[in-house]
Amino acid sequence: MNCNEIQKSFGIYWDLPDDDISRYQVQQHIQSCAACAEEFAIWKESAELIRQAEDTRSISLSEGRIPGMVMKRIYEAESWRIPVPERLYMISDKLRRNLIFSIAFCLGLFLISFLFSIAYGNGTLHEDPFVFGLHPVASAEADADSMDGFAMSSAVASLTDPTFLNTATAHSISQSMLAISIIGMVSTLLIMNWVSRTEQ
Amino acid sequence: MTDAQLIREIKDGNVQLYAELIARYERKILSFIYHMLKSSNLESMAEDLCQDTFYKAYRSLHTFREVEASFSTWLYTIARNTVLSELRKNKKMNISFEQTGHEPSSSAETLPEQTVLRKEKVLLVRDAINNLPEKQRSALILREYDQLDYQEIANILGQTVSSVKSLLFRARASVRLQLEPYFLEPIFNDYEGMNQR
Repeated sequence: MNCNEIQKSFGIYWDLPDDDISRYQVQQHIQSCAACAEEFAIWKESAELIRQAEDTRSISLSEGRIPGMVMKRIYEAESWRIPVPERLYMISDKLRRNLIFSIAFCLGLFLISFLFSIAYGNGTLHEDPFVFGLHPVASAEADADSMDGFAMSSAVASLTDPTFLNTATAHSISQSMLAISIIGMVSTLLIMNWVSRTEQ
Repeated sequence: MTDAQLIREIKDGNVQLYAELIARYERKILSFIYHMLKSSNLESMAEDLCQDTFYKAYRSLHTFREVEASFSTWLYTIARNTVLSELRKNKKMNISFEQTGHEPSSSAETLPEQTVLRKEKVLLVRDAINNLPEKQRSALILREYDQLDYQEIANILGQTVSSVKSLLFRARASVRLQLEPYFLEPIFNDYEGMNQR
């Protein structure tokens, strides 16, 4: 290779692998040619300066900032992809105020009802031993002995419903209050569970 | 987990893993974008464009084919296109920029002469790189700072390997030409020294 060809390969010399034939030829040539050796030195310094010119001083990269921002953009565009534990619901101030009021009301209801049921546990609306469940059939069958002189073989007038199911919840004040207090407490827990997954 | 495995998982709906993929490449991509924007003094936008690059990559992830190019090559291509698009936009807006050279922070008087000269040369090289045509600059940045091979650079720039070689040669020759006066100085100094002797 002549000087011209050798000098043309200076521009890519540093990209060549160590065992490349062109690299070997350049090394051999500059040992015997002073002009090419001088030119090679200039190219070498130039290549070193290019590498040194990498300016990374102004690149400040805070950990997780870019991934965080990109993921935020992705989740804004595709909200259904937000992982369930990270899913947050936005609620307005008005709704928040109403929720606080609801929770306070439910808790108050629970406390008052519970205390009332303890204090006035014996108070009843009316005495009825059969509060829930199946009631016996009311029978209007005629008593044969009471029918003087008449013998009616099938003088029966019975009610059509054989059974009667009473579905009333409570028949006493204490039972009603206890039921209300349970409803109040369950409502409170449900609302608070939902609020815990919300963000202002 | 390899890039390919991560991408498969993300395509299957496990989007959270994309953050891990970003973390692997954010520094490289940010550095590339930063150096590309320096020529227009828009380097302050580097982080925003880096975010845009990763967001665009996510949106087009379904089009990514592993057999055609590596994920990093694909990402560099998106980053370059994003930068070029931004540069075009800014060119249209005809914004005049204030020159903000990165001067050495310490006082020149307190530094040894050789260090000052070296710093001057580095600044000159930065200017020379910034003044290169876009393709030459991209090729040089990808080769010198991101250490990509010719094939990867060719894929990113949409050129052949021999074109990339040519681009790199011309880029380095331009930089070398800018430094020519400085290279002559030591020789001149040596000559003066010889005369004194």
